[in-house]
Amino acid sequence: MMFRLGKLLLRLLSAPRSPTSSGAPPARTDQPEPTLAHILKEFDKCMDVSHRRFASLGMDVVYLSYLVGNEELYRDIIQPFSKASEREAAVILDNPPYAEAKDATACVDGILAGRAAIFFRDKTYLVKIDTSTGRSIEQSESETVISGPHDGFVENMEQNLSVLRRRIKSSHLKTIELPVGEISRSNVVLVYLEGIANDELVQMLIERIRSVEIDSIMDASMFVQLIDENPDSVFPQFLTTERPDAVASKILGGRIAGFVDGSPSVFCTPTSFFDFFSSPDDYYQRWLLGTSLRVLRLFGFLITICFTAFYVSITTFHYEMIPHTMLLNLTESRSRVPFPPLIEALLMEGTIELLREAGARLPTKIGQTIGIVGGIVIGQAAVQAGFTSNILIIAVATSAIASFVIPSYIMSASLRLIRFGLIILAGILGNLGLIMGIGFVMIHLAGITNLGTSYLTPLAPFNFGDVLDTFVRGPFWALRKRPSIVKTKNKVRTKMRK
Amino acid sequence: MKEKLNRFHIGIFIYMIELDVTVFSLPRLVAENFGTNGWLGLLALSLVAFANIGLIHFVYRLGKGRSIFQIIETALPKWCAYPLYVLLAGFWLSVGAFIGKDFILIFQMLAFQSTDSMLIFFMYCLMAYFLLIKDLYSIMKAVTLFFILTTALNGLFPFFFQEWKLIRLTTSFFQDAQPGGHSLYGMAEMYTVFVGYELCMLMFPYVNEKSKLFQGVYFGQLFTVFLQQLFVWVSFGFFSFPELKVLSYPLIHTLEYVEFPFINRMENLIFPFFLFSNLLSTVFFSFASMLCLRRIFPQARPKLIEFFLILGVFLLGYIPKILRQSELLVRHSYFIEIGIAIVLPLLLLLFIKVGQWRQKEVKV
Amino acid sequence: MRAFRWMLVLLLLTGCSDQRILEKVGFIRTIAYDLAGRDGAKLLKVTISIPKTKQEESIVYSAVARTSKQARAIFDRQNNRRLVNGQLRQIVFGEALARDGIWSHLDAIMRDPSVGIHSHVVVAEGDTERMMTKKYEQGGTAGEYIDDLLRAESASRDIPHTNLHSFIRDYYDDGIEPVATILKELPNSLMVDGLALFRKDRYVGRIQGVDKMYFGILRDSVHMGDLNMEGVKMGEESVPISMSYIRSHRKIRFSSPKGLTQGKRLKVDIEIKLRGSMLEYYGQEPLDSVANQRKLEAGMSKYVAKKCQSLIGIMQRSKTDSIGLGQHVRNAMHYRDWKKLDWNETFAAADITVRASVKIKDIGKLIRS
Repeated sequence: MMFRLGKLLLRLLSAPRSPTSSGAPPARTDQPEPTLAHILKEFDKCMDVSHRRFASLGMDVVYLSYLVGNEELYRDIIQPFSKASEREAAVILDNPPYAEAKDATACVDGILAGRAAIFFRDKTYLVKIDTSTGRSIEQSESETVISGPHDGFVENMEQNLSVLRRRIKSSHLKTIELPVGEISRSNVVLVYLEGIANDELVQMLIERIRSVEIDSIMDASMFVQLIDENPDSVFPQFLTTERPDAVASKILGGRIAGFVDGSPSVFCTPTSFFDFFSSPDDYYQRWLLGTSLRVLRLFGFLITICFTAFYVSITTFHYEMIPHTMLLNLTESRSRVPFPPLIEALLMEGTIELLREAGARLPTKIGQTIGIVGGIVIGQAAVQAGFTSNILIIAVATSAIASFVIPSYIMSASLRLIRFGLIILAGILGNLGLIMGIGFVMIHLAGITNLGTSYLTPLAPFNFGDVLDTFVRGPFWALRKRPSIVKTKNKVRTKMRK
Repeated sequence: MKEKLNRFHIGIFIYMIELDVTVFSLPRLVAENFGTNGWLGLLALSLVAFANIGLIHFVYRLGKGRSIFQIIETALPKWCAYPLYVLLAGFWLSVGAFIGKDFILIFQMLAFQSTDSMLIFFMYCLMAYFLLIKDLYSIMKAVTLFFILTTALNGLFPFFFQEWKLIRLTTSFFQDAQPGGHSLYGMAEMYTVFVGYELCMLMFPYVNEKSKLFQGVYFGQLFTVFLQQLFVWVSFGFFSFPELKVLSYPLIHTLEYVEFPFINRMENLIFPFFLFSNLLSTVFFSFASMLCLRRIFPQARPKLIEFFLILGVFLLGYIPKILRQSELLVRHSYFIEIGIAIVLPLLLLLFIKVGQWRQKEVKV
Repeated sequence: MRAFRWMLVLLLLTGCSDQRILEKVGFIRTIAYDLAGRDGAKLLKVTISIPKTKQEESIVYSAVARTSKQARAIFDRQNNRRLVNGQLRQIVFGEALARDGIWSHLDAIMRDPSVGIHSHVVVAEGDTERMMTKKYEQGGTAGEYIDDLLRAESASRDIPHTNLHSFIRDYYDDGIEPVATILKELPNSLMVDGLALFRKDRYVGRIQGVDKMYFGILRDSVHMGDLNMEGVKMGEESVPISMSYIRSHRKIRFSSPKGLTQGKRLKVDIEIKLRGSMLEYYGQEPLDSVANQRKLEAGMSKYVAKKCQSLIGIMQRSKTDSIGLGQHVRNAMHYRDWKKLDWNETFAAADITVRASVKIKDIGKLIRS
């Protein structure tokens, strides 16, 4: 019993487990020539494959019709080749944007990526004629700001990269493409500023991404779980955001951003726990206001994890802590409740989570109705029916609201989970249980690393300069230095030495 | 990226390890053993602690950054050194266990009187285990967090100004101590509040030149002394002197006075925060004992030694069952620890000399 | 974290004997001790008041027993909820009991870690049980009423503090004696009526309600409150005056304490500096002239000094140093000599003079009536 327990404990908070590494993805062993026949065989039973022939030139063009744009097709294939002679065609094909495909794999991959394969005189060329038919750039739904840029990333990576390039006009902005996903062949593009981002960290991240083994990735938030150091932790360790301004400022601060094919969120690293509590908004306000917002959010953080647990602890064990003025009201509202406070709190917290989840699954308009029905009707009725005490409703609602001031949705979900743990502990050991729970969380946090950097920077290791940009939002004259967590050589923000 | 500890870490490490169960009764101990204005005596006693740290500093310099195990093994054969390690490991482990159990018994005076103390102690050990299995740098990160939490509590001091009067400190010095107060035993009892700094001896391999280990140690000790003085001053002006001698835990008592409009009886919330400082004392004593065992079993599976150590802490927790017994155990093991703090550095100096002498002999 | 959850399930299965769920406990708000036995049989009557969840009602239990713990056992058997001390606000002692000494009861209360040190220590003049069971016009229950009364008192006029902490602190201190609030029973209400002076744990003297403030400025510096004066001499005229928002400062000088142990008489000089706004003035002479204000100040100074002098007289007759002169004397002596000294006797025999200087800070909105 004890041993099993020990083993379980060992697994918990265990040493960072790096993704199983086996080197580069396995290369295809046989490499047939990229002949037309081979390619057509490869795309057998694909109704969307198009085969166009320029008989006069002896040229064959193969592409996937749903991936390419008509305009591009006309511009790069039909217009140049329909009137060209064979010699002219050869000259055209030797120049960009046309490129020769060396082997069948590259050719197949090219076609899959929306290129046209041109078979001409025993050689195969590829030309990019794809079109992006995604949603256009619009405001991010999950991270809204009141003032500041309103654009958000979309599912198309090229569009996202172009948005970023427009924000940081520097040749130091490097983009490294890394293929991930054995079947889906999604691309991950790492973006960083050379000379500012720490090269070791970049190398470490590249290694780690290369070693990922998975069939496909759908989203950045999914991908980062494959490359973080503590896969069993409840806390997200890479900041994911849909806001280009946030990503740009992270990159300028020396962090590395990662774009994932087909995902509107972008991950940034190295991240500290406290990065999840800052919003780009803070920098668009006056610094005193930005600071107040940060402090408010930290209060929200405390409230969301502790408030209900504290209620449980006080009403179950520490009645003497209740001030005289509140005592009788609280007792009265508690006296009709048939459950002990722990069960009462878990029930209400559970209900709130149900409501939130129901609201998230339903279309916006019905979601709102759910909110009203749940919030007002159930809350009111629960108190009147003597199901819960009204002070608990206040506690639960406050902690639910407080959880939404945390800008990162993923972080706020993690905190809600921790809240349940604390409530249970508070129901068992009162304030001591609550404090022990906080201690457990802290011990866990202290063990988390992110690309080898401490998750708790700037608190531990303590760094005063960073505190100015974490718990408060210092005035810009005070924010001269880049955050210490990125371990950059160029510490001063305005400097960019090689 | 292997991080090394810096001065700041060492400083708060010293502070957190010295702040343990003894601090709750500190003002009473001062009143009992020194009498009126005993804070001055405590200050004088802290000079002894500084001198002892100076001694350890000397060992560090002569040893040129070698760990104490390396120093011991230059002079002693392994069959001679290992029993010493086992002895030290066992002793340190029991110190850690007794501190933890004592804290829980004190806590049970306030709340959870009828819960099985071993159940709470089990949770305590669980926390200790999770800390202990981490590397030292991660432990230090947790220490930093706990330090921030516990030190923030000192912000409550202004609450006592209203009821604090200088006149209660009286103008006489060292009068009216408890019978048997101004004795060696009494001084040793007082000195237990400083126990803990000697563990900096084990930090030698974890620092480099840049860390300035001893700057951190001196600073940590200074900070501890400062806060202890603050506690004693507040208590001496907040309670009357004869009252101080009858209050079992004056520090907890002062906390009762703090009242907010939305919350009363803050001691119920604040006292559990001291869990962290006691937990860290337990963890570092266990860590010390782990280092000893690691030296004997360098090949042991990771986390195995830690598991058995914490199991040991838990089982040792069964020994003290009542508060009186547990206080006595803590005090007496601290007496031994004071002895270790003085004797071990002296022995190490001897070993260094022996080692040098041997080396010369080999060369000749 | 999974293993962590698993641990919790283990813990949940363990007993919850320490739970004090809010609605399942009865908080004792007021506890009263009184002597019950006639003819010297030392029996104790203990009365407790427990607020009910409806604010207008409370439960009052009363029992006669040998010790308070026995009485407590009787209540426990009577009450449907577990009785707890954590919300105790008032500790009331009957007058007769207080004269006998209250330490054994206070000791038991103080030892209990669940009792807060902000509770009031009260001496009741009247029957404690009747005081707590009677219905009062002020609404609510007696317990509530007493609570509110003392709370209001402590918010505005509680000078000096009479909570458990200060009582116990002064009890132990050898240079000052504790005081407690007196609660007096009137036909249909209760009244906070002055202060009970204790020598150690015995109630030995009484300060009238109207003189409470004067006692306050003698005991310590005061930063709030009103001071009422009955007949201040202003030239020939004798006028009633009320000073509001007073701030006072006391200074103590005394002759050399050498030879006190041989029975030398101590000479003490208490100098009180006081200023406040004069918001009630019923005199004839206008106050707009500096000379008149000076005249009034001189009159008031004399009045305050006389009043304080009479309070000192009460304390000296009761042989209790409730204003803490002893602390000052102690600090001027060798500790060994101080220990030899019977301070309360010395205090009673001391020659104490009070001088006061009252200054009018302002005279309000009108300069002439």
